[in-house]
Amino acid sequence: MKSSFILIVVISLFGTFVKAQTPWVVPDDKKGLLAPIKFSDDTRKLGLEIYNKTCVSCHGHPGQPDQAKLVPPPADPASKVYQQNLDGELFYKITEGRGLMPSFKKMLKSEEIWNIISYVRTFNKEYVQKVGASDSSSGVKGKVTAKLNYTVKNNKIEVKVIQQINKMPINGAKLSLYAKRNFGWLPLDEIRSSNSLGIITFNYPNDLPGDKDGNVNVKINMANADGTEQTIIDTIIKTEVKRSQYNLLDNRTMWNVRSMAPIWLVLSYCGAVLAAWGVIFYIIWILLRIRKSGSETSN
Amino acid sequence: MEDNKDPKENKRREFLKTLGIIGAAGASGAMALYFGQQFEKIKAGKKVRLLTVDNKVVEFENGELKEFKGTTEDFIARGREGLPGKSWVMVIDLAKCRNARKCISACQSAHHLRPEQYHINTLQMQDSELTSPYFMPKPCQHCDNPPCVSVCPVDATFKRTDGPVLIDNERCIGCRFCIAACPYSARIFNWFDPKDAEKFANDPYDIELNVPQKRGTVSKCLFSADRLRNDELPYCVSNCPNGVYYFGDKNDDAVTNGTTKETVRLSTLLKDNAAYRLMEELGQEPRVYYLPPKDRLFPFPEQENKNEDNHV
Amino acid sequence: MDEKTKSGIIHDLLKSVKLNNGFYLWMAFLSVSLVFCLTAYYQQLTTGLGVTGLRDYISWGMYISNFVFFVASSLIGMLISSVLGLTGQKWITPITRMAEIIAFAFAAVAGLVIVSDMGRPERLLNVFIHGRFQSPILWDVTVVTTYVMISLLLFIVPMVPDLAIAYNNRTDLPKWQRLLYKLLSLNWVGSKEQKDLLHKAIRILLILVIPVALAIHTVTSWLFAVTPRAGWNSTIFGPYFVTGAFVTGVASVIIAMYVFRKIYHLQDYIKEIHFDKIGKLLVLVSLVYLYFNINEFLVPGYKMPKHESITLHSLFNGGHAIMFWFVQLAGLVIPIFLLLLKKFRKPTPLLIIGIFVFIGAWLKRYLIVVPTQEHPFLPIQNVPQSYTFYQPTFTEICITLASFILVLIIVSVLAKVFPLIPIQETIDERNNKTESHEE
Repeated sequence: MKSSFILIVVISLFGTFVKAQTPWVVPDDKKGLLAPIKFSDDTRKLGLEIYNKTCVSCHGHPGQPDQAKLVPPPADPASKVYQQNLDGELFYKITEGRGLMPSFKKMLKSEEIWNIISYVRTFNKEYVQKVGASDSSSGVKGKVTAKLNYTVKNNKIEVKVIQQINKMPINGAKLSLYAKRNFGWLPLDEIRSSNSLGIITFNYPNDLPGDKDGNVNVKINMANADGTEQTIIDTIIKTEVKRSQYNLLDNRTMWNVRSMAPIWLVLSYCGAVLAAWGVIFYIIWILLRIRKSGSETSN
Repeated sequence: MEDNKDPKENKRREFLKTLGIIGAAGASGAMALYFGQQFEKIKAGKKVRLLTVDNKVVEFENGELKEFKGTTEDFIARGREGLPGKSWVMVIDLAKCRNARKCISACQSAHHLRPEQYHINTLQMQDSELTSPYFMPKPCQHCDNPPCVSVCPVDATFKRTDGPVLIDNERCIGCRFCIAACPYSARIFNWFDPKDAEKFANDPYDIELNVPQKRGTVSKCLFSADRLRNDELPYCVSNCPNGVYYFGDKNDDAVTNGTTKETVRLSTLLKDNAAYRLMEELGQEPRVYYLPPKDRLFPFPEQENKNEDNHV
Repeated sequence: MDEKTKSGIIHDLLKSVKLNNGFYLWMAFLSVSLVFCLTAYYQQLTTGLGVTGLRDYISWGMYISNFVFFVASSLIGMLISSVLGLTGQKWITPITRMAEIIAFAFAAVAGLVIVSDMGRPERLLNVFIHGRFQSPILWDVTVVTTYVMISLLLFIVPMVPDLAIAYNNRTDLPKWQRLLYKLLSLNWVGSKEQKDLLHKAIRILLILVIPVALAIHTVTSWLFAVTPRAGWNSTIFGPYFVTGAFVTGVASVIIAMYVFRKIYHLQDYIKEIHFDKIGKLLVLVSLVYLYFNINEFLVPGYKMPKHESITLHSLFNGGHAIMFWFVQLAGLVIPIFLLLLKKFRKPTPLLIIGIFVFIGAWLKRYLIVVPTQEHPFLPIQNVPQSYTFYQPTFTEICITLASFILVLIIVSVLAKVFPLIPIQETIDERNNKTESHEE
C-alpha cells in the first residue's frame, strides 16, 4: 500500500521524538525475576503462537531482517544484543513497554509473556534456563471443594472452600468470580482471599443481564501456586435481570423488509397507483366507446 | 440434510438417500470416513456425499474431497434469520491502533477481496488543524436506522434481528443506491469479475460470508456473521495484534477483546472512556462505538495529514 | 395566408407523412450509429461496470446524470399541453404534438438509461417481484411507467380526428400506414357524441398528467435527497428539479420547432410569433429556476458547514468551477437577459440560445450528481488514484450517446409517420378566427 509506505517514511522521519538511544534500564529488583514455569516444547509452541499474533508485526521473524521500519528499530529477538537480556529484563520490558513498544501488562497474562520468552530463547543456543523457586505459600495443594451461597438481591455471593480430604476450611485461597458471556468469561469482582473459615464474599453486580429467564452461568476460579487458575465452581445462578427481548425488526420502519413497511406508505403508494391507472383504464374505455359510436354511426 | 438441491447444477437432482451410518460413527477412529450406503451416479462425473465421524458432510467429486457446507438456499434461509436474542456491537479503541492493517488483510482474504476493496479500512484522521491525528479503523457501522437498507429496491440488503446489515448477492440488482446513501462509505461494488472468480464459481453462495463475490453486485462488511454463528469473533477482531477491537453481545452487556480475549462490561467500557459513535448527528444509530484516541500507545507521526492519499 | 382553405391546410400538414429517401437515409445513419454504440454496451455486459469511470466512491456518474436529464426533458409535455393548454393559451396549438413526442421519447428511453446503469440488468424483474414500498427506486419505476403511458395517450388521443383526415385524404400511402391510421382513428366520424367523449378524455388526461409529471421528477430528485450526503441532503430538491426540468424541456422544444419547421417547410404554421412566445416562456421558467438556484447555493454558501463547503468550493472555485459557471451563466443568466430583447426571440438566435440552454441543462445534472460523491463525509484513502475522481470513459460516452440516438429515432419516426401539426385544431382555430372577424 502506498499510504502505509508514506506513513512508514513519515514515521521514520518524525519518530525521533522518542528519547531514542538511551539505554533501557531495568530496576535491579526486577532483573533477577525468574520464570515460574519450566520452559518446554509446549511453552515454546504457545509462545510462538502468541509471538506471531502480538509481536511479529513489529519485531518480524527472529533471525530475518523483516522488522518494522521504525525509529528506533525494533530489536530482532535472535540478535546477540537482545539475547543478552536476562529473563527478568525481558519480562519487565514486555510488561512495561517504552515509546513505540507498547505495554503488554494488560494485554497478556504473565504466563503468556513467559511463553513468549521461552520461545525467543530458542534462538540462543547457549541459553540455559534458571527456574525460579516455586512459591507455594499462597497456593493450595490437593483437591478442593467449594460451596456456593448467593443472594443476588443483596448483590452478594458467598463461597466456602474446603479441602476435600479432611473437610478443613482453606484460609487465604485466592478466588475470582466470572460470568459467562458470548465470547468469554467476564470478571465480576476483584480477586479475593478466603478468611479463616474458608469463606469469601464477592460483590455481584445487580445489573448484569442473564438469559431470558435471568439465569447466569458463573464460575469461580482459584489461583494455583504457579499463577494458573483452576475452576472450582461452574454453575447456573438465578438473577432478576433478564436479557432484553426487544426485536429491532418488530417495528414498521423505512429500513425494514417490505412486509414491515409503514402502513401509511403502503396505502399511499397503492392508492396513488390505483388512482392513476384507474384513470388510464377509464380513458381507454372512453376510447373504446368512441370507436363503438363511430362504427354505429357509419352503419 | 436429505433432499439437497445444488443450485449451480439445477438440472441434476440428487438425493442423499441414506446417512444410516451415523450411529456407528462415534465408536470409530476420528480420521476414518464412513461411506454412505447409497449414492447416485451423476452424468458428468461421480459425486458422492459422505458423513465424517465429526458429523460433517463432505462431498466427493471427481476424486476431489471438499467439505459440503450446504446449498445456497440453505445459507440464504438461515442467513436472513439472524441469531435469536443476540445484539452484536463492536468497540474500537483508537488509542491502540497503529495501522498494522492485519484486520484488513484477514478480512480481505476471508471475503475474497482485492487489495483495493475494503470491508474495513483504516483511515488517517485529523478532525481539525490543531487537534491530534489518529488512525481510525472503519468497518460498516451496522446502523440501527440504516439509510442503505431503506433505499434498497429489492430487499437485497437487509437488517437482521441480531444487528448486522447483510447483503444478498443472489438478489442485488446492482443499482448502487445503497452506496450513494451510506454516509460512512462502507460499501463497495464488484466492478469487474471478483478475485479468483473461476476458482469459486461453483461454490454455494454463503450469504453470511458474501462469498463467492459476484460481478455487478454490492459487497460490504458483515460483522463476520458466519463466524458469529459459531461463537467466534469476527476476522478483523481476532486478527488485530494491538488489542484495538472489542466485540460482543449488547444484550450480554459484555464485549471481548479480540487480541487479549479479555471480557469487559460494555457499559463500563463505554462510560469510563467517553465512547462515541461516528456522525451521531445523522441519526443512523451505528452499532460501532469508538473510544477516543487519548493516551495513544503509538504516537502518530508529526506530519500534516493532508497527504496525497487523503481526499477529504 | 390566414385565408387558406381547409383543404389547403390538410394538404400542407399531411405533406410530410410519406416516408421518403431522406428519411430512410437519416434512419440508416441513426441505426448504424446506434449499433456501433451498442457494442459498447455489449462490452459493459460482458466485462462489468468497471468499463466505466465509476468506482466505489463515485458510483453514480454519467448514466444517472443522463437519466435525470431525460426525465427532466420529458416534463415538457405536461407544461405545454396541460398547464398552458388548460389556461387557454391558443398559440401552443402547433407545438403540442411535438412536445408530446419529445415527452414520450425521453420518458421511454429514461427507463432504458437506468437499466444501463445496473450491475445486474438481467435481474430487472426483481424490482417487481421483491419491490420494496420504502425505496424511491420502486416509486420511480412506477411513476416513469405511468408517465410513459399517459404521454403516449396524450400523443394519440388528440390525434384521433387527424388520423381520420389522414386516412381519408392520403389514399396514396402504403398499406401498413393506412391500416395504422384506420386502427388508431377509432372509427372517427366527427359526430357530436364522439366529439364530447374525445373532449372529455383529453381533459381528464390533461389533468391527470400534472400530478404524475410532478411526481416523476420529484421522485427522481428524492433519489438524491433521501440520502444523508452533504450536497444532496436538501429540502428543495423536488421543486428545484421540476423547475429545472421546464427549462430543459422548453429548450428541447425550441430546437425541435426550428428543425421541423425547416425540414417540413412549416413556416405558415410555426411562425415567428410562436418563437417569440416560447422565447418568453423560456425567460419565465428560467427565472423561476434561477430563483431555486439562488436558494440552493446561497443558503449553504452563506453558512458554509464543514462538508457542504467542500463541495461548494469545488463548484465555485475548485475543479468544477468552469463547468459550474458555464452552466449558470451561459445556460441560465445570459439567456434570460438576451431573451428580454425582441430581436433574440427570432428563430435563429433563439435556436442558438436553446442549444446553449440544452447543453447547460445536461451539464447541470452532471454537476448535481458527481461532485457530491467526490467528497464523502470520511476521507477516501488507501485506494488507487482513479478512485478519487470521476472521468467518464469512451464506453460510457458511447452508451450515453446511444440513448440520445434512441430518442432521435423515436422522435423522427413519430414525427414522420404521423401528422406533426394538429390538423383539426388548426382548422377549428382558423374558422373561429374568421368568424370572430366577421362579427
